Amino acid sequence: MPMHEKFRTPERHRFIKGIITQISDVSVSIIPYGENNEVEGFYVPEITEFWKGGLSHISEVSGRPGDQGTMSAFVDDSGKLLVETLYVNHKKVRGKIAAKKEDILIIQRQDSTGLSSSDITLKFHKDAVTFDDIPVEMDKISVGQSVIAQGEMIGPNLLDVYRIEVN
Amino acid sequence: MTVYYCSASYYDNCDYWSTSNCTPPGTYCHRGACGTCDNSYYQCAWANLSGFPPENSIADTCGSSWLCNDKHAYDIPKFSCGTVLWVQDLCNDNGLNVTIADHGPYVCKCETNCNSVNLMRIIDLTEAAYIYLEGSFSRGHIPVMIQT
Repeated sequence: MPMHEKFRTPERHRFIKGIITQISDVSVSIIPYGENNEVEGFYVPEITEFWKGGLSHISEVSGRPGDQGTMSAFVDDSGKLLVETLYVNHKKVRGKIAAKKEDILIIQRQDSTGLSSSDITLKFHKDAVTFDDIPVEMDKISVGQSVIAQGEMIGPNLLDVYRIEVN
Repeated sequence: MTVYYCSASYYDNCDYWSTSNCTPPGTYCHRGACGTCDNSYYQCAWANLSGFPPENSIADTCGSSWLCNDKHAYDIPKFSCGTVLWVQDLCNDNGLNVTIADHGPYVCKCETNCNSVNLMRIIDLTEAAYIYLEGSFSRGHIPVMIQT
């Protein structure tokens, strides 16, 4: 994928995750979580890519104000923020499968201390694959297995899964 | 100096708002094993963290019979909270310094990418670090070189 090679230094890089306040064909504005001031990033033809969920990118802006935006961008010499990637409602979750019904999984989430937090429901995008690019086989997935899944949040506790890993 | 080749994934456990059931709502209730984890910083979780016993580690999870490229999980270097690692993406040569702020991952995964040899997944990067190296979250894991 195309990259901001010219500006690719940690000093110029900005990772911004928060709530989208404005989105157009030119730029996106995001208020980062825990902050009050919005940050505006401008799209760059040939560079900027827009993502939903985490597997396939699209060429058109798809987010709306109120959605979660995850932006990776680089500051140019004039101080302008140039967007490399913009994800809308992207999420990665980890946990154990608490229940399975047809192609729906209920996941009991876990943090890295091993403590459980809230449950989340996983439904599978039609193009969902494993981390090794193999199509998902639901009949090989069982309750109790550990899961890492990434995709697009399409509801408060509902993830449309693009990639999944089951151990 | 330590040089180690491994597989890296990303996680958002230290995301400001990704945690739930915090009191009061919206506050930090998980800062990782080191107490300093922040998803928006260049940080990582390391599988063999000093101060954590073997029974809470990838070595215990995978066992002595599990091998990845002739190495088992007991071969992973032990680092402490706050250790700075140079992490270089073997697919595109992008690199940056990340600080260890958490413990994990605990999976027994031996993965290959970019025609590299099989590598053990023993580092989880924050989203900020991972997307700096890779440019996107599209792939589930990347092969990296670790250097102290």
